[in-house]
Amino acid sequence: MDARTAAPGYLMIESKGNWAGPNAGTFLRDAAALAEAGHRVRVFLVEDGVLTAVGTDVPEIRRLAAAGAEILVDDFSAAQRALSATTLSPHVRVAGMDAVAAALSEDGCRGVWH
Amino acid sequence: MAMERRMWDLLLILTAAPHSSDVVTSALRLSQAMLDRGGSVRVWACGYANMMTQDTFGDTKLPNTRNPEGHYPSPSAVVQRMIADGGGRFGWIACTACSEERGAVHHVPQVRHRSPLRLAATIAGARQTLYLGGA
Amino acid sequence: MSGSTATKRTGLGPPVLCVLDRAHRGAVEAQFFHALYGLLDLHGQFERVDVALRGPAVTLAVEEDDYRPSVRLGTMELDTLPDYRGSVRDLVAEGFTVFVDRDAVTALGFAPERLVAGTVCLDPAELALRWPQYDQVWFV
Repeated sequence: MDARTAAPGYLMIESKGNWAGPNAGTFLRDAAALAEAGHRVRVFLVEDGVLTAVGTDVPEIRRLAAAGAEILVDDFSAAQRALSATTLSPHVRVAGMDAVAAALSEDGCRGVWH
Repeated sequence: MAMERRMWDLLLILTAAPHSSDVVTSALRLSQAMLDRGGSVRVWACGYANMMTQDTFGDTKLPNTRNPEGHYPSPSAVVQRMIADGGGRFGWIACTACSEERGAVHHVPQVRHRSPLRLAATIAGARQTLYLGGA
Repeated sequence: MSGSTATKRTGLGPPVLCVLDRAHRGAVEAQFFHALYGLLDLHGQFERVDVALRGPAVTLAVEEDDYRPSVRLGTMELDTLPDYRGSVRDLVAEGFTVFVDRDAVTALGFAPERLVAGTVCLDPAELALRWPQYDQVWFV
């Protein structure tokens, strides 16, 4: 079975998030749909995308977590935006770019940047 | 005998413009993270991302009127430094079509010029490709 | 960084309200040359310039301790990235009124007490009603 027929895993990097306007959350719904279909999905929130992680009850984050997706929040982007002064979803974990580099180095991981 | 082709670990197709968002910062941070784990990275600059490596920058940015003694590397100096420090593991490609379209054809000499007709071949030379849109 | 503006205040330009709703526009390439620097550098030409931070840009005015304006690229520690909170403090110190949108502050879960001292937390409708005090409103 080649990489295209095997169920690929996805690293989905969201740089816009639900503060970027209507439909900005579509990418995270894409991620949830893939996770619900059985793909391994990791989401990395970066730049303004990290704002999506704010709050304890964000529907997109909740759905992703329920589908088994891992959700990471970029440490630098979070610090730029003073997110230590607010509450992040319990479903997310703060991580650095090394996590992205490691994931992209795995066989069978497809990276998608929004 | 066919020559063995070099494979890069990561290709970043960077089409978003500098000064538009922090996408260049993210791309460079990701590049550095890949380099730190021993990997190799190539950036293919499309659109206004070609402004990053213009040789008209010089080594430093314009003076900061609020801190005239400060040292602020220019975008091209940052890229050149990463290329030099990468020891062959960090490369930067300027898309010739986008460069001409933007009137941004005077790249620093460390940058390779490549036609968009070679995009697929460049992707084939990388284990992983990320497309950072926005041109 | 903090310092006095290099531009002598001549006040020839009209009173302007500058609304900022996109905060981060290139940390590595912009460094000091970000939107708030532009306001600090040029406001001396105007009779009055005030600033309204809205949407994600309200985070510029939230005090915190984590952010370091630095990133390592190659062997270089580029430690001249924007100092967002410091620039807001400079705006206040140089006489700008800095409005911060209350709705965005609340939606992002920040306590208003975390805002940079001297900023004005305001409901969006209240900000619009202040527009007539300015000759021009610029979305920067």
